[in-house]
Amino acid sequence: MELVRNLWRRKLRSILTITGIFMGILALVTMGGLAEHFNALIDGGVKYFSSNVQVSESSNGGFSGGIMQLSVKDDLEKVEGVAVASPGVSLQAKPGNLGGGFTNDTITSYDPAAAQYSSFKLALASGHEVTDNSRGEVVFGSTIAKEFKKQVGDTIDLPVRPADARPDFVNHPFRVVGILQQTLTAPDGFAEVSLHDAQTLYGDQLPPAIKKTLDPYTLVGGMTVYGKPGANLDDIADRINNQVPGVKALKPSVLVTQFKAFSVTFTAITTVAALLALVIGGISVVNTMLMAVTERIREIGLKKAVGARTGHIMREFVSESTLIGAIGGGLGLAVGALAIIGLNQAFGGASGIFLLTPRLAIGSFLFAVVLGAVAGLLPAARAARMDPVIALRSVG
Amino acid sequence: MPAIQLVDLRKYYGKGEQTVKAVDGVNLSIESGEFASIVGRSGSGKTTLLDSIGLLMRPTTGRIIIDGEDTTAMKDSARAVYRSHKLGFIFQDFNLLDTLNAIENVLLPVRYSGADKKEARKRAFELLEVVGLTDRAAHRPTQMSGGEKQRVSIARALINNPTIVLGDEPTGNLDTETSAKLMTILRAANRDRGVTFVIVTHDLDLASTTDRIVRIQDGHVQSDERLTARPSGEVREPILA
Repeated sequence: MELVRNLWRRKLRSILTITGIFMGILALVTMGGLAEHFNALIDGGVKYFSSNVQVSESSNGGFSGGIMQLSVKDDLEKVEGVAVASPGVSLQAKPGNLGGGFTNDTITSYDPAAAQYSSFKLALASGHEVTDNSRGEVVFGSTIAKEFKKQVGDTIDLPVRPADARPDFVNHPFRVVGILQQTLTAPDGFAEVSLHDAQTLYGDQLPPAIKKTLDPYTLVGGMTVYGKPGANLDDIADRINNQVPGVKALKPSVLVTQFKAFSVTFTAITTVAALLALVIGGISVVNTMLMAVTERIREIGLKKAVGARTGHIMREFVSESTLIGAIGGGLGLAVGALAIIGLNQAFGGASGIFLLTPRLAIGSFLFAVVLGAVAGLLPAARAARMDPVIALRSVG
Repeated sequence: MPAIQLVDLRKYYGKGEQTVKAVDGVNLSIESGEFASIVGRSGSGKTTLLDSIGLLMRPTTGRIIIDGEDTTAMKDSARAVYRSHKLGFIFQDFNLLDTLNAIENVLLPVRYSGADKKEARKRAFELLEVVGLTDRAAHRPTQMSGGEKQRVSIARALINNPTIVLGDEPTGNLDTETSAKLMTILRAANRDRGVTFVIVTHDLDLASTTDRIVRIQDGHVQSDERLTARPSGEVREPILA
């Protein structure tokens, strides 16, 4: 109680100091929330792409999105160390829409045979997966299901018709048979269909001139190659590039390095925000506590006279600065959480842009508390070292 | 056994030609249960002497023996513990904390002595009753008169049951009537609780109500006078029932 009264002695100064911590923690929570969301996305990507080799038509640089013959699957599976080559087709679920947040809604083919090889496991929240023989069935990721307010048993036309759709735009009815659990990464925006259905939709989107000459069921966007147990995926990528003509295989190690580089950038943003909080909040706490020590010299002298030891005085002043940190941190966290909710609703689409994880929330608050405590150490030490006679005889 | 024994005590400030000898070779023994006053002009060294006895400063040379224990070599932390358990302080300008009410101010030394909080709180209320401030327990110093504040500080000085209470001009900021009332309270504590009192004052009338007057001049004991006839009638009630 005395701690609160001491803070309340100089209301304006205490409020300004708490505001300094509050601003720092607000910045830390929001910037950290951005980084947390991005890092969750990156982590999912690292986990997924480190367990396979991405193969595409050679002019497409390794990622799917071009056109590749389904027959390449056989060639790939002949390469030493390859367990299975999984054909994949991906296309926009909302053509022409740039989407909100980090993930775009994507219709993607699902290969039950390949799922067992991936280290990135998708789990169902409800319903069941599509199979190779599924027709007109879709499994939604958590975000896309929320965005279109769909549950198992509902129907939806895919791709979703854009407002400025061309006259020849075609879509097909699908029944939602499953909803995936949230992953905080790309699959949250997936609409998984069978390869056959994905090829149908892919064929619909081909330019009319090509459409007549190509059988969409012989085409895929790319292949995801999984290795046999113990096989080195980078070596498999090299062998594919050497042995299978017309394709480009990306080494998982290269992809993972690129993903981690993105992650480092965002972590740096968080660190900068934290340093700003440290500098702004910490200096203001040090200043406030030094002033408090100067103003309360006689009080310190009295306390020492009646038996307070160095530790007692240190503890009292550090407790006060810690309280400043805790109040500023608590307010910063609360307002930061509200800001994240508001910003996600306003700009983040269904998946959001910011992610307030328990780690970030607890970490930010503890950071503020520790910051307050550390910033109080120097003034507290100054108070504790004070000569009781000089302190008692001081004016003021 | 003397409560306080000063052996060739010296406290010098500065160096060389600018050395100030605030206390210069004082030998003094104050018996347990005595009520002594130290008088002298401003700058005579009486406050430095009191601060030394209160273990608030270290002497340049000499020894301070309290209740038979030589405090000379004590570390700062041990001196703080000693102050907490053996000594009480009364200051001229009260030194109450404005953020605390009367009872909290009385209890301040308990915070550092480690005494049982519940027992101490009970004792604090008893002491406030003794000094006649039961109805002011929840009041802050800013809501009290000078006399009331000094009575709170007397209760604070006695809260840890010290053997010695040191007063630095305890009535210096009070009018004559209030001073007399406070001295009555201090005398009662001295008589009923056996507490040794040493007060520093420049008020000779006040000093004449004590058992002994030690005059200090230029850091030396100029005279040491034991009063044979105490003024009568100043103690009317026992300090604790």
